[in-house]
Amino acid sequence: MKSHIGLAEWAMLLEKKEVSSVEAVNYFVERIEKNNVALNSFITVDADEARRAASVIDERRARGEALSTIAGIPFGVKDAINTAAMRSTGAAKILDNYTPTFDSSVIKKIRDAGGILIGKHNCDAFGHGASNENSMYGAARNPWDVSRVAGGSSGGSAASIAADLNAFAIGEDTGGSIRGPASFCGVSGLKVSYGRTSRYGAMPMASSLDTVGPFARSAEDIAMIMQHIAGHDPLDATTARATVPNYVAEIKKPIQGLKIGVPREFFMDELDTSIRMAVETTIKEFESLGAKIIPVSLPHTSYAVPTYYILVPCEDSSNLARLDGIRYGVRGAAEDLYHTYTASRESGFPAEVKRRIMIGTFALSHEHFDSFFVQAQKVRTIIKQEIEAVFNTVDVMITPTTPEVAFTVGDKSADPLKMYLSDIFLSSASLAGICALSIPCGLINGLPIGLQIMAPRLGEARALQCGHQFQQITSWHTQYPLL
Amino acid sequence: MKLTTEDVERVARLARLELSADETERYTTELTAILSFVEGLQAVDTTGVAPTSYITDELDELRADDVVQIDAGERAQLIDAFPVSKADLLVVPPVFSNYKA
Repeated sequence: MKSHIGLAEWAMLLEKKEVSSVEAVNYFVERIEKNNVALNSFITVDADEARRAASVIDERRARGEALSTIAGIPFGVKDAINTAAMRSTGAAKILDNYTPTFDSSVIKKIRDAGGILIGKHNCDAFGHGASNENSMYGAARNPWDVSRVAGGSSGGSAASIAADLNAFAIGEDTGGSIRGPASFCGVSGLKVSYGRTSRYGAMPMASSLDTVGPFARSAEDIAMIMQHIAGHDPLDATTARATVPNYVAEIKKPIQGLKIGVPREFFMDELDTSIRMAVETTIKEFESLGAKIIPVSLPHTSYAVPTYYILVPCEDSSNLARLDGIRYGVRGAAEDLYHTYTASRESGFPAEVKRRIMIGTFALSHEHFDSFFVQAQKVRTIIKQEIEAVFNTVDVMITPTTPEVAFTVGDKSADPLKMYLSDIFLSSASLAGICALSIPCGLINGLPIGLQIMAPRLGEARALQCGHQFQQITSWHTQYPLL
Repeated sequence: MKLTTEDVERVARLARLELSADETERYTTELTAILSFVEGLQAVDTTGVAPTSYITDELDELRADDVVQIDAGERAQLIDAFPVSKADLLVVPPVFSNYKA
């Protein structure tokens, strides 16, 4: 049987009946059994249920039913996204025993299209982190070097694609949680524009920034997934009613004459020299495809991380108030109500979650509300307008995804501020609500480098088109670590 | 922005977090560093700038206030998810501390 192939190729093999969906499930389950102890990509796997769902698809295919392009294909989901009848912990012990009665909207759409849910991916608890070390189930490891982090927060999802443990993955990106790990693990990952996919059923972290999006091997694979998950959802009032483009067709168009902006602030002195060189090489590749490279400037870039780390903890502290051990999850033992809350939260949350709840509670308090929270909301406006203005002159912008390659487990976990600065190239797109794709564009000493392609709000087709055209002339996206 | 241990204790109490003395000490140092860093935003001139609270072009959307029935299986699953239950009822701790059952 063929192995180490992307979603598009799986779809073709299944359609031609060269492989069955049950065989695909068995292939991935075997790989998970072999590699998950070292990688810790999955918190929960349900092989029996996946085989059952796969056999239903195989029977339907045998009967000659018309099936979607992703029917029968095994996928996994970040554990901070709710899945019916499959435990969803958010990587926090307070939800250790929680099994939702409902699917989040994106997962429902994929299951309705015949996608086979195989398991739940490790992540930083409730999406809080840039390394996956804030998981209460242990850090997900990087398949390229297991002594290093997979990135965060959707680290298990990215690692599972790098290690070929499922054909695609659904993660969540609030301030880089898809792009960061995609970069560290050498896979393709798309942070969609705010409102392009439904947030319904994703455990809310920062509701004004949360987005649900895909990981896969290539931009083309991601276009296939987007075709199924994008669009309006009556259960999420912020989802856009704008028409969903034909992503799969759009990405095939050449990028001759396309204007690519390169924002100078993303190439500061601290940027790793090898990453700078790799991105400069990709710029030449884009030129060879006929794109025009235009230097641009986003002067408020350095304010994106501090803005993010005020707004997000504020929204976190409010959203996480619902986790109190009363209606679901794990309840701490105590005599009275107050101590029931504190006991549940004490053992149920890791340190980073507590840190964010306290920063948010502080910044939202009466004395600090204007100088912290409202000021950050105003700077958000400036950052957003600055990005929109640049998109009046260019079609997309390219930058490195992260200023360094995957770091060693434990390197930054003792210094939360150092960890926050890992998001330096990622926060801007989140605050502006635009979309951004990360694709691999090189290797340094066997560790992947990520390229970020930012496009205007609802411009996913454009970002994916650039990514796909780049992947037609390069092969970084077909590289796998030795396991 | 320099926080005191009392500041951290107060914020923790408001957020229903209970911290040991060691934790309070550690969080005081960490939160001081984080707040001092994000305080750098004060340097940005935001005169006349409107705050952004969310990003969407959609208007508020209303739906009919209809009761949606769930089936017996889903009802059982919801009850099963209760941390503590008695028959079909969710058991909660008393709200008033002098209450004796």
